[in-house]
Order: sequence, then structure tokens, then C-alpha cells
Amino acid sequence: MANPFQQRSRQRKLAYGVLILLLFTGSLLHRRFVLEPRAEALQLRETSRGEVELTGSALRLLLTGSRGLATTVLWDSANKMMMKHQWNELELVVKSITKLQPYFITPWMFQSWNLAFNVSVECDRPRDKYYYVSRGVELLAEGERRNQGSSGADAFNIDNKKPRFPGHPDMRHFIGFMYQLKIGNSDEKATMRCLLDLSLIDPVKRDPKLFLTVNERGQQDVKRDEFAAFCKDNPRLVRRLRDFLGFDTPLKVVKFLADSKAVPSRYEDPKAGQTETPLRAPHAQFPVLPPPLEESWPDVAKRELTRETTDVFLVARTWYQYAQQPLPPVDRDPGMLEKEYDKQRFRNVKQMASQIFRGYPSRAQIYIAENLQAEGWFDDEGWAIPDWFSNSRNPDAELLVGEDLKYHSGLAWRRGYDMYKQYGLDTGLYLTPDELLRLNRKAQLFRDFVKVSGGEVGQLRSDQNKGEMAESFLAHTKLYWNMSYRSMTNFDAHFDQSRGEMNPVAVHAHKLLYQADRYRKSLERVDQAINSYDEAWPLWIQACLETSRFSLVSNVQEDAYELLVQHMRLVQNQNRKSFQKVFKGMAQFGVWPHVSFDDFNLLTPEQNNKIMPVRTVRGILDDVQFYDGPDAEKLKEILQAVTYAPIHASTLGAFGFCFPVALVPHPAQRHFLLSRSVLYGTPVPANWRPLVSNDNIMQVRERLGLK
Amino acid sequence: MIFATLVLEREPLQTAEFLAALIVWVQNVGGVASLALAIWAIAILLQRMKVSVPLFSDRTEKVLPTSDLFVYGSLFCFVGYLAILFLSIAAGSSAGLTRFVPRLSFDQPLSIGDYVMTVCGAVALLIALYPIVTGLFGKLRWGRIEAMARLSFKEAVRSRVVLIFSAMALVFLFVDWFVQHKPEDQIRNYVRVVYWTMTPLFIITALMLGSFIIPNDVKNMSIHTIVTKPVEKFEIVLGRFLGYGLLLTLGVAGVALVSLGFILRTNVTDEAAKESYKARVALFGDLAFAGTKSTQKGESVGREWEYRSYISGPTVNVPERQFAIWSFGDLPSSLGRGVETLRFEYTFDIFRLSKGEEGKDIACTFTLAEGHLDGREVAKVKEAFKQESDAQEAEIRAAHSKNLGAAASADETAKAVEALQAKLKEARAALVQKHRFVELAGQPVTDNHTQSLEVPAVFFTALMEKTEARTAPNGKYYPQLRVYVSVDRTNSGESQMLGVARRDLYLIAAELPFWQNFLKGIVGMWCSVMLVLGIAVSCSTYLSGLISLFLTAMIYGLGQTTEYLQQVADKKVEGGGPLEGFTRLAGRKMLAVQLEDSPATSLIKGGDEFFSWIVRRLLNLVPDVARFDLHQYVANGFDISWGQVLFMDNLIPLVGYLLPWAILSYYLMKYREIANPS
Repeated sequence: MANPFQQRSRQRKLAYGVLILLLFTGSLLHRRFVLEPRAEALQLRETSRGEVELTGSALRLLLTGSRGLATTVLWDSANKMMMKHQWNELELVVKSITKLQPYFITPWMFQSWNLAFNVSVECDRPRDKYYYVSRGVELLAEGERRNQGSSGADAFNIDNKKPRFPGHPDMRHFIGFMYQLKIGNSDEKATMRCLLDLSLIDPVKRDPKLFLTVNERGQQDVKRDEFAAFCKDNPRLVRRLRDFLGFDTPLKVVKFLADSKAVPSRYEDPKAGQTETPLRAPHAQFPVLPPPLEESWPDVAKRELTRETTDVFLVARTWYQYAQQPLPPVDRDPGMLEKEYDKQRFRNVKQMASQIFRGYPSRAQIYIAENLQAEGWFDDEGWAIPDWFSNSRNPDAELLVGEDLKYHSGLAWRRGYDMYKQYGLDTGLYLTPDELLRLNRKAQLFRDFVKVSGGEVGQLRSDQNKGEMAESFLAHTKLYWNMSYRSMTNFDAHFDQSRGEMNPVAVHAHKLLYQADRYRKSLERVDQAINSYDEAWPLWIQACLETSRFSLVSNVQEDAYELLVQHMRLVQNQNRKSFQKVFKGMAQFGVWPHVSFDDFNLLTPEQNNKIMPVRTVRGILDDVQFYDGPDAEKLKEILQAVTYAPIHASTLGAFGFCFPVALVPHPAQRHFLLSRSVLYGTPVPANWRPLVSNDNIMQVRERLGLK
Repeated sequence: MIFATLVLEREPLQTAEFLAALIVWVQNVGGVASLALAIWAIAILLQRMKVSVPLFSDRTEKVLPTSDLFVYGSLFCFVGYLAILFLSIAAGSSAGLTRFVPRLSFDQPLSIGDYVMTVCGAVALLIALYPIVTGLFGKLRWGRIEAMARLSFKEAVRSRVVLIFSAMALVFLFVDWFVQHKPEDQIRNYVRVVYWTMTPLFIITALMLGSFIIPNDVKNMSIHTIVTKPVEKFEIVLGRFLGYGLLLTLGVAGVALVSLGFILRTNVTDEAAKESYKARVALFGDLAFAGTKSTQKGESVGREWEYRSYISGPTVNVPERQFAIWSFGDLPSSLGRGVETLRFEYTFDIFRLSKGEEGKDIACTFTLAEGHLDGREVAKVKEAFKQESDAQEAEIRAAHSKNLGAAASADETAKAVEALQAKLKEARAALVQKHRFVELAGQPVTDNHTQSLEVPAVFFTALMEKTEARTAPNGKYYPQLRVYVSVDRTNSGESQMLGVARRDLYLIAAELPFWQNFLKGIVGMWCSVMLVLGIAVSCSTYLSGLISLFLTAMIYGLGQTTEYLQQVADKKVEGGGPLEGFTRLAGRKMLAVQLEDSPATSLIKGGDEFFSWIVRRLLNLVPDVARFDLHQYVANGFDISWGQVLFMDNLIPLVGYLLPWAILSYYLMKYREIANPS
């Protein structure tokens, strides 16, 4: 039996034990039922901010209070390594910095930019550049994941009322922007895009060993069947390599595949004997993509990433779309009144006006369409690869690839148009003609009262701002800001261009112009080039007249006019001697007596050479003018009705003798109504416009040194 | 770097510089000793004490007639240093006094100040060492030291310190998750990660072990069980150091072997194998320039890091070439024997002045000639070589044209062409041997990549055969070989700049296995661990464990920042010293803005001058720990030489730095009151 002291001690211990147990249980319950829900509600938990990384958290705990010091030292080291070009070490340091500061956005943004831009530019080989661009993008994507916002099934559902930690629109946007600038638009864009294509192809399917063989002469050769299958699967890559990068034999293409074998990829490193390489985890793939929140977005979990054609701008577009998720609900009356939004659930963009920011997905879609056309993809007719697949039995054999609809640029333009229209409707930049008319009518009262035009702000005293006048003032202000934001975002130009370009006539004209340009550059098929140009211009003019606002877009005018100048020069070069004779004849004809320049050797050889080419030559686009006054479309309808009425009557038999069937106009002729072809320099009547404005003509001529 | 090049901003200590380094060491260590002795001597004089010194093989200390010499000698040393200090400060305003100031670099001749400081330092060291040498002579027993070492080892093992080493396993397990790499950087990154992890792991272990054990012995009074035995106190220090040193050595060796296994088991990519999975025994030359503004430096392209100088190619406006010239002093006599060609490797930086052509390298010409020839003579040799080469080629082709014409079948033609090629090659080799001249034009240079060129071995054998003395009339010693590199003219007339540094071009004398080099690199790491252990044990002889730990960590930390400290000492930091920096901050003055001339500015600048002087002195006491980091060699595939790098640049500085700490720990332990008889 224990003595009283021992008993008391035991009782005390027991009491302490019970107390500890009670307190511990109490704190546990308090944490579970009070603290955690509140933390959840206030978005204070680390998991609310995005993916949590165990090693980073452990490291931060280990450093206790010296995290700031460690980060500073590492940051300084990173700067020094950057200066000394120690790039592989820089990467390791940058990783450490971001592990220490995962919720501070600047290190992610700055260091990823450093890798993708500053480091990549120091490398000469596109492969090296591509590697560092990929590292920069992956780093920022990792940062985005750490700051992705609330996770969970309905994290991205903005309609539910649950609180959520918003992701960072700027980070997401910048990832897309990196793809766009460094792969889509860089100096070495053709190679960079090819490397991106390789990143998307299963390494087993692009293994050079798959294609190489030795021919009967003991030389290295390419297996035609395997290579044909590769071309079929990757027509854009092959065409880019052949047409733009000079890989003009299959062997050269395979060599490119061999040299670029180790590009960052979507797939694991291939192992011997595999017929299909497994995909990496979504976050470890390159190109890195956001989670597929919409059906139309590329799905990183699937081997077939997307049903669209793979393109760097598709990747950029997806990131731009993903960047829209954390934004507050869209304001249809921009500039009118700053609307409050729930800052716990949404985050606004910091780096640019939200109207511009919201336009990026549609802009990227336009780039996809432009890119397709720039690489020669217009419709579903595909590309016939010449030479490579010919043999002695069939010397003209060609392999047709890329007949899929996903290579149809017209469809890409249509999607761009739809996206622009939706963007315009969402942001209030696009007002339907009826809405525009209604608002203008309503605003007229105010404008007359304060004597301002539509482009001026105007103010009302508070005692005047009521009733009908207040409504008129609101309509005027809405129109004013609408115009202002449309100008800021260049909405009209993009919208009108996409509307015009999706026209099949414009697509076909582009195709002919592209072919003409290729023929012109090849220097061997000049006649075909001239024919293609000749065929293209009427179609182009038709496309412009069909959508008159399309033809008003200045870069559309400039691009077309530049091609026209090249066409004219080609024609002159091709018919140099004939033109020289004509010009000399005309000069001879201008003087009396008509002395022959050649017989009397009046011109030195240098002077003879200088006759051609004529610099101030004008072409078909210089001559076209069209009516762009008020109600132009209605006038066309009336004119068309006037023309068609007798024809319809003739079909009834009344004037059948006057209008034989051969004279029935094609419906497309309607677009040529209220247009005319006159000599360049003919004064433009009021409400009429030239197809290409004089300013744009001068711009192009100056650019080409013809001014 | 992303290419296999060795970037050393500080050259390893050369054998020829050993004496100069020793002088500096004597000056620095002697300076510290003289300061301590001066304090001691002043105390002796003030207290009118008699100095007793120990005698050899005698436990008692006796007052000798010469003892006063120690006191006055100490004061003499201190006065010597003090005089040099005042002269150094005065030399700032009077140029005539510069010869009394110690030289700033090894290139300069020894000054009067150097002699004075060396003598004073040597005397101070002798005075400081005398009691140790005489006091310990014949008294130190290896058996006791060994027992102490064994005890330390056992204590450390029992305290499960070795478990810390297993933390490396985490790296091996998870490194692949975090370390992504370009194919060519694979080995480089693994080596980097292993070194980055191992170094702090062992440094921290050494720091903890060295700092706490003696203070803990004192605290637990276990030291009394030792010092009451007939044992020298210094034996405790030595025993502890050796015991822990042995433990750490075994730890470093064990972890290094496992790390090596980890690297070797990886599937090394072809690119990485080519760049760094080897140990090149490379011969480096000295770099000079021709055609640029200075023979010591090329052009600057405005890069912040001025490690590389640039040469440009000829242009329409400036048709003259600029040259980067590597001079190779003494080549090994065996070079070129038994092989057909020898390989030079080069890794240059390209600074583009225009975009150039995508995916196209720039072309350079490499000219190899005898070292005693100057530029004009090389041009003459080149001309003669070309003429003879053209004539010979024409002759050979003419002679073989008949055979070629007579060939009836493809096989015969191929044979004839082969014979022609062989003959041409033979003739060319003979010419190379005759003129001792090789020119390789149009060699491609890719930015940031290692490339190589093969040079016929006959060229080197011809160089070796030349027995004439390589001494010029003025006594200058000619190099054996010079390699001239210049950028070729492009068809478009564009010019690009080629960035070169001394170690960017090298001759491969041999290639050794990677594993061997990896382990050599670990020796450097071991040196830094021993350095930390030595400092920590020395500090702990007097200070408490925690203070020892912080002090050692601070000294090591300062050692890591010597580059920056050097900039502060040389007043090269942007924005001036601390006072100027503070003034700028307070006055919101940008770095580009000059401070106004005023008495206050003079005062501020004077204060900063004094601060930089303090830092200069501090630099002499701080260990240059960067020299022990040999990962650059391993990661980039360059052999670490036993003599030059490991012995001269690692082991000797380690001993040199730890010796003064050992002296200090002797005195601190000796005069520490632990069970002292009195």
C-alpha cells in the first residue's frame, strides 16, 4: 500500500492525465468543428490556394524563421548565375526559391520570364532555346498550380455561392503569352513550332530508327511506307519542314527527328520494346496545359490531345480561356459605373484592362486561322507532297495528306468570328445594328440639348438629369464608352476581318494567292504564279465587296496590296523584253520625227536596263471604288430587285424574248453592284471609297522602297 | 554553364607561387601573432614579471637570461606592423611611400614593406611557436592521442551521429522528381545536387561535433578524469580533432561511394557522356590577343560578367582580323606518340551583332605554329606552306590523273581516288612536319557547345624534335606552341563576336575515368569539412559550445562571401562603402549621381576607406572556402590534378589555415583553468 504522499502523487497524475485528455479532445473537436469550417469559409487554408507540395512545406518548416534570409541569398545567387550563364544551376536555384515562396507570385513570374526569355535568347540553337522556353513555361505552370485556387469538383463553377479562392488570371495569361511570343511568333518560329509538334508526338512514332534503312547501294535511305504514314499523321510538321525550313528530302526530315529526339514531351522516356509510350502525368507534360474544364479544350489525359489541329496558338488560346475563370462577372456597360464584385471569389486582372484581357482567347483563335493559311492550309483538299514518293513505275506519284476538316482555315476563321462576336456581346463592345440604332435615336435628345457629337462626353446638371433626358444621357454615355473601348481593343478591325476571312471566296482567294507566292519564290513556275494571281484578284475583290467592312481593315488592305505589287513586278520581269519594246515605242511615238532609239543607239545599255521595272505601276486593286454611304446594302437590294424583276417576269414568259437564259446574272453579281473600276487617280465621289486607301498604298510602297 | 568548360575565376595556386604565398602566410599569421604577443608583452612589462619559458624535455619552466628578448622581440614585431600600417594609410596621399607598402599581387616585386612585415611576422611566429615546440617536445604521446581519438570516435558513434549521413538517402530517392535536365546537363546536374547536399550535411555535422564536445566535457566535468592524468591538454584537442576527423572522413568516403554508385547507375545520355562523363587531362595555354586594343584583353561587348573577352571577324569596313592567341609553355614530350591525331576542344561564346542564319554556326580559323614566331613570321610560314602545298598537290594530282583516267571500273576508280587521297595526306603530313605549321580554316563554332578539332600528331612530334633553346635574347622564355583563333569572314559580310577565356580552348592529353575524378573532388569537400572541424574544436577550447558553433559558422559563412568581401575591400561595390550607401539612401540619391564635393563627403569617403582597409585585413583571416569546391571540375569532366589542385591548392592551404588555429588552441587550452595545479 502506497503511503499518503504516493497516493496524492498518483491522484495528481491521474487528474493531470484526465485534464490533458480532455483538453486534447476539446482542442481536436474545436479544430474540427469551429476552426476548420471558418478557415475554409475565409479561404485561409493552404489547400484553398492550390496544390500543396509536401517537400516545399517541409523545407519551409525546417527553415523556421530564416526563410526570408534563405530566399534573399538564393535570389542573389540566381542573379549571379544568370550573369555568369550558369543556366543549369540557375534552374536548381530558381526551383528552390519558388519552393520557399510558393504564394508570392513575383518569383514565379520573374524567374519563369528569366528562363523563357533571357536565358533562351542567349542560346543559338533553336533546340536549346526551346528547352529553356519549356522550362520557363513549366515553372510558371507549376506556380499557377500552387496558386490555382480552391480545388474540388465545383471549384470552377462560378455560379454556386460557395466561397472559393480565386486563381491568378495574370499567371495563366502569361503562360499563354509565353507560348505565343516564344514559340508562335519568335524569329525561329518555324523551327520552334516543329519542336512543339515533336513534343506532341509519341517518341516511339518519331524514332528515327523506325524510318531509316540501307538501300541496295549501301547508302542510308528512308523507308517510304513508314515515312508516308508519318507524313499522313503529321502533315503540318512535314510541310513546315519541307516548305519553310528547307528539309527537302525525307532523309533530311528524319535527320531533324534524330537531332531533336530529346525534346521535352508529353510522353515518358521510351523504353526498348515499347510500341506505345505512356503519357506523363498531366503536370509533367510539355506543352503543359490547364485542366480540361470545357469539352472543346485539349484534354491532357488523352493521347489524342484535341480534335482541332495542334497548334501553339491552340495551347495559348486554352490558357487564355483558362485565365478568364477567376475574373469577376463581365460588365456589359464598361465605363459607366465601377461595379463591385466579391473579392473572395473573384480576382481581376492586374496587368491590363479587362476588356483587352477578355479578348485574348478570340485573338488566339484568329492566330490559329492565320497560321493555317500562312502554312498553306485552306480547305479540305489537303496537300499533295511532290517528289518524295515517286518511283520509277510512277514518276508523278504524290502523297495527299491533311485532307481533314481540321485543317480548313475557313472553319478556323468562322470559329474566330463566333468567338469575337460572343466576346463583343459579353463585354458590350458589340452592339447589334438595331440596338445601335435605338441607342443613337435615344441619345439624340441629349446631344441636341448640350450640343455635343457622338464622340464627345458631355455633362448634365443634376437638375437636368431626370426623365427622358436622363435616359438620353445614359444612351449617349453608353455609346461614347462603347466607341472608346472598341477603339482601345481594336475590336472592329478584328471582328470585321474574321467576318470577311471566313467567307469561302476569301479563303479560295487566299489559297490562290498563297500558291502564286510559292510559285513566285520557286522561280521556276512563274507563269503559273501569274495565272494564280490573275485568278485570285477578282475573287479577292468579290470577298471585299461582299463584306465591305472587311475591306476597310487596314492590314487586310496592306497585305493584299503588297501581294499585288509583287504580282506586278513579276509580270514585268516575265515580260521584260516586250514591255521594253512597248515603252521605247511609246517614247519614240511621242517625238517627231519618230527616231528609233535602237537604230541610232540613243540609249546606253545602263539606260536600257533602267527602263524596267517601272516602279509606279498600278494594278487591279488600285482601280476599284465602291459605295459605302448610308443604307448601301438597301440600295444594293433595290438595284438588285430592279435588275431581277424583268428576269423573273421573263421566267413567267412576259419578256422571254428580251432576256435569254444566258443573261441571267449570278447571285454573287449582287455584291458588285454599286462598285466601279476606274483609272487610279479618278476623284472618289462622296460616300464612295477606294478598295485600298491611298494611305495604305503609300505605306506599302514605302515599305517596299517604291516611294 | 551549359557546355563543358572550366570556369575558374581564381587560378589554383601554382608551384612557382608557393614561396610568395608562404610570405603572405607568414605576414598574416605573424600579424595576428604579433598583436597577441604585444598585448602579452605590455602586460608583462606593466606587471614587471619575469618571463619563464619551458625547456626541452623538462617539465619545469625556467627564467632564462634571454627571456627578455621574447618580450622586446614581441614589441618589435608589433611596432613593425604598426609602422607599415601607418605608412599604408599615408601612401594614399603620397606616392613616394608606395615602396614601403606591401605589394598587392604576386606579379609585383617585393617591396620594403613586404620585407619588414615578413621579418616581423616570422619573428612573432617563432616567439609564439617556441613555447609550443619546447613545451611539447618529447611530451606528446601518440598512444594517448590515439586513445582520445578512439574515445571521440566511439562517443560520436554511440550518439548516433552517423544516422545524419543517412539523410543523403532522401536525395538519392527523390532527386529524379525535382531535377530535370537537358540531356547534356544530366551528369552535371547530378554532380551538382550531390555536392550541394553532401557539403552542408558534413559541414553542419563537423560544426556540431567540433563545437560542443570539449565544452560538454567541461560542463559534465568528465574532462577532469582526463586532465588529472599525466596528459598534455593539447593532446585532448588533438585527440578530439583526429577522432572526429576520422569519423567524418569515413562518413564522407562512405556517402561519396554511395553517391558515386547513384550517379553511375543512371542511364547516361550520349550528350552527357560526351560532355562530362569523363575526366579530361587538359593542357591549358595562356591567352593573349592581337588586333584588339590591348594584348591582354579582347573587346568588351557590354556583358556584366567580364570573364570572357571578344574578338570580331573581318568586315568590309574593317578587313583586319582580330586574334585570340593561346600560348602553351611546355608540352609533355610524349605528346603525339603512338597516335595519328591529337584533339583540341573548344567552347566559345558567340555574341551576335546580327541575327545571322538560323541554325548556322560561325566559322573560325585555327592556326597552330611554333611559339617563338611572331605574327609576321607566322604569316610568312603560312605563305610558304601554302605555296608548297599547292605545288605538291598539283604535282600529285597530275601524277595520279593517268591512273584515274585508266581506271576501267568503279572499283578501280575508287582505289585510284583512295591512293590519291593517301598520297595527298602523306605529302601534307610531311609539309606539316617541315614547317611545324597547321591551319584549319572554316571550323564551325556553335554557341555554348563543346566542339573539337583534330590536329595531326606529326605536328607535335615535330615540335618535340626541335631541340633549340626557347630563350629569347632578352631572357624571355618562348612558349612551345601558339594557337591563333580568328573569326572568318561571312559571305554576307556580317561580323559576329567570339567570346573567349583562357580555359575555353585546351589540348586533350588523356582521358581518365569519371569515377576517379568524382572521388578526387570529394577530397576537396573533405578539406572544407576538416577546416570547419579544426576551427570549431579550436574555438571550443575556450568558448562555450553555442558560441563556438556560431563563431565557426560565421567564419565559414564569411569564407563563402570572399568574392563580395574582395569587392568591398577593392571599393568596387556599386554605390560605395556603407557610409556612402547610407548617405545615398537617406538623401535618395541614385547610384549615377556624384556626391557633392564637401567636407562631409570627404569624411564619408575617408570612413569608407577605413572600412575597406578593415575588410582587407579581415580577408586575410577569412578562409577561402571556395577553393575546396571542386565540383566544377567533376561536373564538366576535367581531371583534378593531384599535385596542382589537390596538394597545392587544397591540402597546403588547409594546413596553412589550421596551423595558426592549432597554436591558438594550444594557448587557450593551456591557460584554461581546468584542474590546474595552481
